Amino acid sequence: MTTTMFVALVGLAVYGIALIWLGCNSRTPALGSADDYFLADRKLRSTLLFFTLIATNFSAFFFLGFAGAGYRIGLAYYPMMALGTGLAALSFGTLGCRVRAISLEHGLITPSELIGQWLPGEAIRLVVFVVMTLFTLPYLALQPLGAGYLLETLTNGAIPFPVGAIVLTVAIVVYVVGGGMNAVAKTDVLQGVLMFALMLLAFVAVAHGVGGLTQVNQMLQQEQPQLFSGAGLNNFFTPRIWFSYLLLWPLCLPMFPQMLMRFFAAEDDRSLKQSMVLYPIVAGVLFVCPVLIGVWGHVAFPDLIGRAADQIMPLMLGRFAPAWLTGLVMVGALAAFMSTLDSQLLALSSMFTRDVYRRYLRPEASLGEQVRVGQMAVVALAVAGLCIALRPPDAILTLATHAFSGLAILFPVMVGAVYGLRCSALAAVLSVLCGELVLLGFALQWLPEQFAAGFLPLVPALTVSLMILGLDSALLALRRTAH
Amino acid sequence: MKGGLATDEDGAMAGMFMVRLSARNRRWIAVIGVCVAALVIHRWAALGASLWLGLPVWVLALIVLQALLTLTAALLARSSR
Repeated sequence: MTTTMFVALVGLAVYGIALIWLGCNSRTPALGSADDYFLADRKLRSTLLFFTLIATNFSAFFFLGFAGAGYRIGLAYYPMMALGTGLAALSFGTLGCRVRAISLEHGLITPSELIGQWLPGEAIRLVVFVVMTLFTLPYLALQPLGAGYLLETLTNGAIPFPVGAIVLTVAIVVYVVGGGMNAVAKTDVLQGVLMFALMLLAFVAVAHGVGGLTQVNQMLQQEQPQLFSGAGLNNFFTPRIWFSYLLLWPLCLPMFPQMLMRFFAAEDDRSLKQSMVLYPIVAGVLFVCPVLIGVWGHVAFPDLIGRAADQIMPLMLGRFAPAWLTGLVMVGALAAFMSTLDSQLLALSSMFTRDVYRRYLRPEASLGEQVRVGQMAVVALAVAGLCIALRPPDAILTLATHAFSGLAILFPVMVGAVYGLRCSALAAVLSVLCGELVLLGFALQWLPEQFAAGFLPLVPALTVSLMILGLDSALLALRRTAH
Repeated sequence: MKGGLATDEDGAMAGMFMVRLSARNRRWIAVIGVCVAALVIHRWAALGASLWLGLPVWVLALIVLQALLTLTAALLARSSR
């Protein structure tokens, strides 16, 4: 057994025990109300809220994908992600505070209930539910998929992919079912601290190993100046693509149900506003680490092509960091997988319970019954996620890659709901459906690429959505003036 | 007389609201300014830009912009809902 594998297994065992312990200790005697189980009784304060927002948002893509993108695109990936995330955080203290106030006043728990508060009828509620589920479920399935493969690689095949995926998912289900949002938030603090500390350690170790930040960057800049250009390798970031990404992150991040529902769970506006201020700092400091490690990958592993680049983080650690640190950092990546998966499970289970079970099947369901149904939904969703992960259909993987744009289309309608924009339910439904149709058109190549005019497909899709909402709102205003 | 007083108070309140509104608008204008600056800096990020402290100058400029964004977030946080 190698040192890396030994440390990883010990670290994983300690981490797993800590998670279960934290999860079990989060079980409050009063667990029995839907607010308590799904939203931690709306009492997430500054530190818990900040860490749960971070841990939910930073999936394993932060560990592995950022470094891979740094390798494939170059340093330009860093400021784009940091600025985009910083801009997205502005919604915590603005949109988030309004969402919190409305949800508290009316006892809302899910995004569909929030929309339903604004517009009459079932259609818009169902559309929001379907879009959020459709784009979150495949993303949820990617977490055990990635975690299972990472564990298999880390243990040189000693823990096969299906076993790893199942064990990690079962651990998550135990504490989510046991403690709900309270457990998820508390474990997120542990997972968040692990992610921060291990990423910074990895960065220092690799920077030291490659000869220091200044030296290696100067050398690489002479050999491959494109790695340090604004456009990146192969002119990836044209100005229009750069603009598209700066638009994408602020719109999609608050539309992830697991993120939006944290606004519902905040204890006060102050906690949300503190997270809004701290988030850009954390993104600015942390994101540079994996991206630079990826860029430096060209020194030691210059020939990685395509998806192989996503392995650059473990490869660089294996080459330049002590073996024990490699094992620990990979445990950090697993923590990132798990902190995203538990939040997705809880968010989707609450949506199924409130928006399907309670609304259409048993409107008279007591709060205790809703909690029990929610717990069963967590198990069912975890099993569904595992089934998809063990045999991922192509369509699911395609959906997962479009999750960000697909969810961003909900942003105008959600803002309309929260700020009381006057428009009809039909226009809101059409706005979302037409936007999603445009995205689908580009994904399936029904629409020629030229229609996007060099932007990401989100830009034309969002334009269509906004035009529908804007036209309807203007027509309503005209009608009011005429009367 | 009472009515007149109420109107004056209303006027003063409206004035205060306008001042507050414009202050909040200025913060959102700052956010838009950060976005525009990010686009401009990216456009100017020439191939093979010089390094300072081991990082390209355009990346450092964007890091400064990130700090400004944080400051703007702090100002937004101070404003009332």
